[in-house]
Amino acid sequence: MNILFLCGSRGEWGYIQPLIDLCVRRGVRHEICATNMLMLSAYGSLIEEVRSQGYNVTQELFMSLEGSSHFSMAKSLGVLLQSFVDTLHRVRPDWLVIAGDRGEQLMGAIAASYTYTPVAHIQAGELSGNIDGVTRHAIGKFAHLHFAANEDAAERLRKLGEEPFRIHMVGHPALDPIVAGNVTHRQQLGQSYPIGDGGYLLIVLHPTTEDFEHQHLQVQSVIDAVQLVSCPRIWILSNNDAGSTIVRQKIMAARTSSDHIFANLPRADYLGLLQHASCIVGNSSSGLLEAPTFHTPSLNIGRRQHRRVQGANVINCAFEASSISSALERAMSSSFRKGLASSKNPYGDGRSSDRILRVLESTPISDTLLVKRLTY
Amino acid sequence: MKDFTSLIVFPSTTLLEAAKVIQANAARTAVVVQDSDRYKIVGIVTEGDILRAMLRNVDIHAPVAEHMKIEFSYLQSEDWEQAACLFASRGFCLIPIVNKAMELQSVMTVNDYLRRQIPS
Repeated sequence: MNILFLCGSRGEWGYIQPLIDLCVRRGVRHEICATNMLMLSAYGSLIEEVRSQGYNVTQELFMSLEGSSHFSMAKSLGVLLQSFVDTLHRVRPDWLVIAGDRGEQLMGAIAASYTYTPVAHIQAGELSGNIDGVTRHAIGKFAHLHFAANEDAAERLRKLGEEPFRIHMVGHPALDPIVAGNVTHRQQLGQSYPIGDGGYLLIVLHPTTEDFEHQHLQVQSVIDAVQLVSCPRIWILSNNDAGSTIVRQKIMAARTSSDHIFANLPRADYLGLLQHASCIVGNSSSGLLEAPTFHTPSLNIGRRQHRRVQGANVINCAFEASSISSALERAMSSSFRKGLASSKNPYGDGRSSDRILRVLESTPISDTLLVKRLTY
Repeated sequence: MKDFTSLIVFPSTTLLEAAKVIQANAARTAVVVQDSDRYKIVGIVTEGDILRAMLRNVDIHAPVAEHMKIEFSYLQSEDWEQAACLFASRGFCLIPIVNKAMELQSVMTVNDYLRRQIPS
C-alpha cells in the first residue's frame, strides 16, 4: 500500500502528521506532496522543517499567485488542480489522504475522484464558516471514505446522502500527539519564547473571507482589546487566504514590545504554548479542537467557526473591542478556568491515527468503493 | 531622532539592496522598518537569511519582507551584560533597542561590545 498525503498549510500538517508518524513506525509506504503555504518563505517555509525531520516529501507544487484577493485565491486553486493531476499520474497511490476544509484539499479530491484514485478525507462532515465550510462538504461528495471526528459530523455526512459504509467515526488525529505527550514543557518554552513566568495570551487570527471589506475593523478590534491586557502576547500569523495581507500589516503596525509575532512554530512548541496560555484568542479551529484537551479557555471571535461543535472551554463573541474585552475578562477568570477541570474534548480521545490506518488497510479497493451512490 | 540610514531597509527592499546595506554597515544585519515610518521595526534581516534564500534559488530581487525574521530579540535599554549573553548564546551580531511602541532607539553590535572590552 502506498499512501499519498496532500498538505498545504500548518493546520493540515497538524492533522496528518500523527498518521504519517504511525506509517513510519509500521513501515507503511507513503509520500508527501507539499503545496501552497508549505512552500512559501513568508509563511515560515514549513517544508524545510518537515524535511529536516526526515519526512518523505517527494512532490513539491507551487500554486500561490500573489494578490491575496478572492480572485487570486480561486485562480491559485486552478493552478494546483492542473499540477496535482500529473502528481497522481506519477505517484499512482493506493490512497490519497486529505484533511480539513481548504481549497487545496478540494482540488486533491477532484483530481483523485476523476482519476478513480481512492481518496479518504480526515475531519469530514464538520461545520465551519466562510468558504471553508462549503469546501469541506464539496470534498465529501468526491471522497470515497470519510473520517469523522464525532457523531455530529458523522450524522451530517449520512444526512448529506453518503453511504454508511464510507463513514468512520475516529476522533480528531491532531489530538494524538497531545495524548502521546509530544508537547514542549513550560520550562523549555520559557527559554525560546518571551512568555515570562505568569500568564500570556496566544492569538491566532485568520482573515474571514466572507467579511473581506470589514477586515481592517475586525483586526483592529482584536488588537485594541488584547492590548489592554497587561501580559505578553504571542501572535501566530494567519494563512494566505483572501484578506491575509491586511491582517498581517495591521498586526505588524500595532506591535509593541509586549507583542511577539511568529509566522510558523514547531508543532510541539505550538501545543506547549496552547497548553500554558491564559487563553487562546481569535478564530482558529485550534481553540475548539485542541484547546479543550488542555482545558485552556478559548475566546472564539466572529463567524469562522460558526455552529461547529464546541466544548465547555469556548466563549463566543463578535468582532467588537468592548465585547472582546468583557469576554476576555470572563475567559481569563479563575472561576471559568476552574470549571473546565473535568470538561471533555468533543473531538475525541487522541487515538485516531491507529483507527484511520486500520480502516485504510482493511478497505478493499473495488467498484463498490470507487463508484459513489447517493442514498437520496 | 538619530539617523539609522546605514542600518535600515524596508519590507520592499530587494535582497540585493539589503546585502549592500549589510556589507557597508559591517554588522551582518539590517533592521527592517515600515515604509511609512522609518523608526517602527517590522523585522530583522541577516547575512544568514540572505544566504539561505540564495541557496534556495530565490531571486536576488525578491523583497526582504518574504525572508526577514518577524520575531527577533531586542532590548529596551542599553544593557551590555544582557546583550553579551545574547551575542554568545544566540549568535546575534546586532540587537536593536526599542521603546514600548517598537520604535528603533539605538542598536548594540558585537563590534561595539568587543571595542568596549579593549582597555583604552
